[in-house]
Amino acid sequence: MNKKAYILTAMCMMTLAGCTQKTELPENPKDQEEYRDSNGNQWIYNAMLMRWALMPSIANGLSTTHYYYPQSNSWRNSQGTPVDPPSNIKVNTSKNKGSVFGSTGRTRSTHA
Amino acid sequence: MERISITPRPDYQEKIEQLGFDYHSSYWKEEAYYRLRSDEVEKIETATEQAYKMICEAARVVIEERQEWLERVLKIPPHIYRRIRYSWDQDEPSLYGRFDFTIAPDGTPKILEFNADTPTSLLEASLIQWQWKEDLFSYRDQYNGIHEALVQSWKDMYPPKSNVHFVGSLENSEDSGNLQYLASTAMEAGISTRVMDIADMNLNEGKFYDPSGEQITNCFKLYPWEWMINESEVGCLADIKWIEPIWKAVMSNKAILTVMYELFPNSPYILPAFLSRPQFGMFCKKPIYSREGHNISIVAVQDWKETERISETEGDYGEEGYIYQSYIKPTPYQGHYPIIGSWVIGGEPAGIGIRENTSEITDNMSEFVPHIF
Repeated sequence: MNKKAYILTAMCMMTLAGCTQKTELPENPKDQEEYRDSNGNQWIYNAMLMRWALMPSIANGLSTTHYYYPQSNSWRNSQGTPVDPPSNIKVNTSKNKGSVFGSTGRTRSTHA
Repeated sequence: MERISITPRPDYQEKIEQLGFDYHSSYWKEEAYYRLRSDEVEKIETATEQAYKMICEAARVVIEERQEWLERVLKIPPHIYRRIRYSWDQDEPSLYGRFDFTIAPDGTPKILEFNADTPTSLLEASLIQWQWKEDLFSYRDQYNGIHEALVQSWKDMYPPKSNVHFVGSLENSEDSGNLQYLASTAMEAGISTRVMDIADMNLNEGKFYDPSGEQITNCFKLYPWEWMINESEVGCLADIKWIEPIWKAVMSNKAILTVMYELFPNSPYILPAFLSRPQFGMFCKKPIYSREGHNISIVAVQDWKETERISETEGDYGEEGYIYQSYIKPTPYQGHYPIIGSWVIGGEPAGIGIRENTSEITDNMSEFVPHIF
């Protein structure tokens, strides 16, 4: 395998890995803890806001930082707007077994 | 009080978004402001102080003497009542609440309702309108000590380095914005904060845990008690200190207004209010539980027969019943009807925010309008 073919293969593997491998984020992260997943993505945790910042890179194809909220398994962009998950990022989530509140808030507004 | 048109600051959207107010849309336009006189501000402050004393007394009477009323009118189950009674007897602290007043033609503030549990429009009342005033009227004053009062209240409630979780429906940008603002005031008071979605609180053997496994001992919730009671009575009985406390469930409904009128019929601030349809009069008919002005109508009643004068607003509230509150025609200001949202923080009046509509019923299409005096 020559160098060009190797790089091409490596890039294909990375893309494939990004499509198929789920990211396992640390369970009890500390504030500003950095984590690099198996796909080469860099994540930084903000404890106060309880969210992971996914740093943009060529590998993940992002041009701006995206934020992942593990509690709600949701994503926001750098303006705080809810967005779809980046196309090649899949985070492994486990359902909260003890969740008892929150269902009404999905259909009604709390605003008083 | 005057309503005065004004040209918006050219860069106002950028300025308010820098303060975290990114859900303003058509709700904040700063095309007008209200100018109050000092004596009008004093009247509102006095009315707020008196109103809070009266609603606390109404809550005391209901909690300590009328368990049956709570079960019949508010559908509070007996074991939840016992938790409310415990919370009340322990004097579990409250952070905040907001009275909504309309101003009668003689200048007297009249209570429309008390938002005891999940009052919003906090960030705009506290920081956003203050920034506007500093930019345009730095030489004038504003009735607004909301931010300082919040920080002080956190200090009064918790020693430094205490842990408080802040939960709500984070999918809603306004809820998320209010929660993060409140968390920032707690941080300013030296408290360690966590903001998370309420759906991610895990109940295990009577205690709540956050997704990292940390036990939640103190929890500010921007989520109504009536929803929590409906969703999980077991969750409401868990070993956790809630802010607002569960006794606020007794205040955060329109039925408490009928008890206030019964106890203080001669108060200048209280409009007559009834749980059943009166024989005669013009009334604002409101669901016992309602938000954003939903399912509210103006009705004329003659010999117990009612006719709609202003059609019921949209919504899906009302199954728990309605109250009839004497109708007072609001005074228009340049074709707008303002509602004074007067904040009670740590039990004391702390400032106001004004929302206005072009219809007589304030709903989620209202606009926030800053003020000076």
